[in-house]
Amino acid sequence: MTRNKLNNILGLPGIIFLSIFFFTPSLFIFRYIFGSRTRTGKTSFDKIYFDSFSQLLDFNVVPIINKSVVTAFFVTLICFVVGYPFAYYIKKLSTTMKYFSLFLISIPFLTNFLSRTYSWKILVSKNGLITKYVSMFYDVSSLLFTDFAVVLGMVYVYLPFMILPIFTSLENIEDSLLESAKDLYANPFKAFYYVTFKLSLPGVIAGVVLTFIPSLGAYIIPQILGGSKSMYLGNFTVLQFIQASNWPLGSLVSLIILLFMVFAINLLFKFEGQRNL
Amino acid sequence: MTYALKFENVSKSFSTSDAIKDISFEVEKGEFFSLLGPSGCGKTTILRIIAGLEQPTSGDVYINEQLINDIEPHLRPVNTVFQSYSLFPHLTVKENIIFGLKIRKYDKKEIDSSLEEVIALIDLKDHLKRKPHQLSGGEQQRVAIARALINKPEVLLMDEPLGALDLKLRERLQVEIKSIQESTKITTIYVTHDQTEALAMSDKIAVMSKGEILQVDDPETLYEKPTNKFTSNFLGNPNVFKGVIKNEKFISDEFEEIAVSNTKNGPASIFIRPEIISFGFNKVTSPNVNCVEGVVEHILYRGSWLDVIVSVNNTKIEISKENNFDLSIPDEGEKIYLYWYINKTWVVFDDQK
Amino acid sequence: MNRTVFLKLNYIFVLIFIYLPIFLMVGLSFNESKYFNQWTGFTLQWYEQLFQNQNILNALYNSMIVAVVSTFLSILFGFGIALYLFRVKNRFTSFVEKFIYVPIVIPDVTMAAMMLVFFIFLSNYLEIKLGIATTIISHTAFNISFVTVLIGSKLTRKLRVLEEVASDLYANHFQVIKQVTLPFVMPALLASVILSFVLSFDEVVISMFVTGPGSTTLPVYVFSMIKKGVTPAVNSVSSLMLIFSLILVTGVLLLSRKDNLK
Repeated sequence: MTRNKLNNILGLPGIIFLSIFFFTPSLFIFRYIFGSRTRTGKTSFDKIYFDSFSQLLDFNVVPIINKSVVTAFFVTLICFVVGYPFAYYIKKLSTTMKYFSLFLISIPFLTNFLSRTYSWKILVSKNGLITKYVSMFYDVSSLLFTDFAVVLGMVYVYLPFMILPIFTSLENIEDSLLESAKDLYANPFKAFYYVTFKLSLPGVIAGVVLTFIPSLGAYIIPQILGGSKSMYLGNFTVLQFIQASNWPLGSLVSLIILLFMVFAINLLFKFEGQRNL
Repeated sequence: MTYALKFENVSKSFSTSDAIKDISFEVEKGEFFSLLGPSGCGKTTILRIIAGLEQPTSGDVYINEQLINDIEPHLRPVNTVFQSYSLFPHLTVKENIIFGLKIRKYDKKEIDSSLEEVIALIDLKDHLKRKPHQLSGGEQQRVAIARALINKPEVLLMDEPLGALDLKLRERLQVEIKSIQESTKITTIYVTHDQTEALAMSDKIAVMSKGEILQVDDPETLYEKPTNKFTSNFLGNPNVFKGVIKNEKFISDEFEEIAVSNTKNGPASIFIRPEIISFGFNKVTSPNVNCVEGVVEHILYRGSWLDVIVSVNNTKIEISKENNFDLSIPDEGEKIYLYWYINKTWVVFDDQK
Repeated sequence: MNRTVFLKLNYIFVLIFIYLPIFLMVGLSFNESKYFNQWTGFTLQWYEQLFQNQNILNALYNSMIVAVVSTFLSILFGFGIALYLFRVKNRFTSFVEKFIYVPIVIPDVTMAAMMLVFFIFLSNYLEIKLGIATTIISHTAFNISFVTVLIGSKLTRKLRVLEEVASDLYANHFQVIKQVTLPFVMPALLASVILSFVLSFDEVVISMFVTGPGSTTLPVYVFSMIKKGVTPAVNSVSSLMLIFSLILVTGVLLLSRKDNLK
């Protein structure tokens, strides 16, 4: 058997699997967008429909997009404000403490998402720790099912996504660069801004994208912490599929989430590309 | 005459560099054959073609009169010592060495006796149970050589095996490799960019540049009688002058006449090696020597020798002299005479490649 | 406020922020009281009840089958693709190299939607029912990419040279893979086994779309419990899931650290 044949035999099964069970399904989404929901909840394909597009307005999807984007924006902002100093601090720690801190922050990165979201629910529900604290200042009995709880929950879950890439890019900055900046009469603030911060930008951008995207399409967190009344793109999509049986509209909204993602990733690559020039 | 290896009009094109063009050469059985040239000249490509790791675009390769173009690397009777040692990190030194025998399912007895044989040649006894990362660079390279040698290949390929080592170690291993090769009589193709290494070790050297072989000769002929400008320049550090040869005289902007021993006329360059030039404080007149007058411009003290840069007729000639006690060192600015044998003035005509 | 003090406070705050809810949840799962705002004593009764709950046991069984089979398939396919991309360089493979990231970054809601419409569409023509099989297929579809990328990062120039050395030393294609490639990528291979198991075992949204009645996975079942409220049962099952993935993930992190030190 020749070398090439063997290599093809290694790769082709997986590629064929992905073509059938990933690539092809992604094309079906497009077909469904141009279908129409019939009265029984089935989707009709007898001609090209544009129902799903007009329903974007009829079902008030635009405010939902707005709300999702604003929420994702605040989540990203908070993650950055808290995450950057955190990454900066552990970079300066001794090697052992650094890796231990990194370890502590990596664990939630991968562990059970559902349980972590639920654990947060305990804190914000009636008589929960955070509720108790907040109710000392404001008149609330439960923070559960508020937008505030959703934002905090997302920050809680996605914070490691911000910290890890920032840490990686900070770690790659050589100390000698900072020293030479100071040697060239930069004060600590200027040295930080012109050297450390600028060089850590790729990590910041990666962190922003990694936080923004899942926040935008989140379903579980709004569902658990926001309740059924508060609508975000993620749970609106699921609603169309599971309850409303409006698959064309669900397909369209899920595609919109995907487009936001593609846009954000392109932005990431554009920044990366500029840096490499 | 039997040939261990033969290249017939072999070409290989790459989109990048390292291509080779129409290469033909033969290597005798038992010969130590070096491919010498600057990086990117295609010498490693030739080695990889022999090993079967690259396919030639055109041309034929023979080992022991057998065409091997279509034989897969693992079926070829050749073994390679790679530049970066490339020992298997997960195997011990012993497991590394016997890898080739184990793969071919030799029985334990054969493996043990082969191992002993190799260890007699290369001293690795104390390291057999270690892992590669516990060895120094020189030791790792010894293991890599043993790992290739134990298979008793028809042709042993070595790709700059000493490139990563420091000077002292390199010189010691040169001697070691040469003596192993002489005692085993294994046909060896040795790739290097280091001319002194090639000159010291080889029976024959092929000088390469830009994917072509320019000259194949034994070290002495190559150094003393290069047939082309590239070889003349690449080996040693000669003084080069461009001019014309007319009636056994070299004439240029700098020199009125320098006697040469070539009878041909035409535009040419002359090469005068720094070590063949002598100097003194009196003019030398002899029909066998050229003598020119100059002023000492600079003396570079190199320890075991001296480089003296002399300005002669608006140009500079470099000479190098052993630093022994009968050398009277001139002062900078002093007038001296340079002289050398006429037949040591090496001429390469412009129409020679 | 002093800069260092601020950084240190922020550091402590973040760690508390991340770990407090987890510890609280695990602690509460041992609380005798049904109400989480009062501690009446230590008990294991919620865990005992968990193991008597047939629905949870069924869901756990389904999850295990899905995770094991989809891990096996994604290692098989993903490792194959990684080797293929490592050895063959042409236009097609450079396309695959980029495309392979899509299943990783695609939002789970989008992927869930497209898998659902695909299977339902197929069910018009073939005997397909939503269930364990469709869940396995969907999980495999996103896990393949994780495996390919994780193993691919270990397929370096160094390995290529070692493979050449092996073939120079008479190893045929299969021997090269067995003797050199496999040992070289073993830590990454183990890490990707654990990772794809964890990813599959924890997955909620896609499973929710493509599982049928009776084939619910554990996270989907727990999710429906969570939506109802905070109960001791949810505390204990969530704690178990969390600790289970915590152990596995710690394994992955230790493996990759060991690999980097080598």
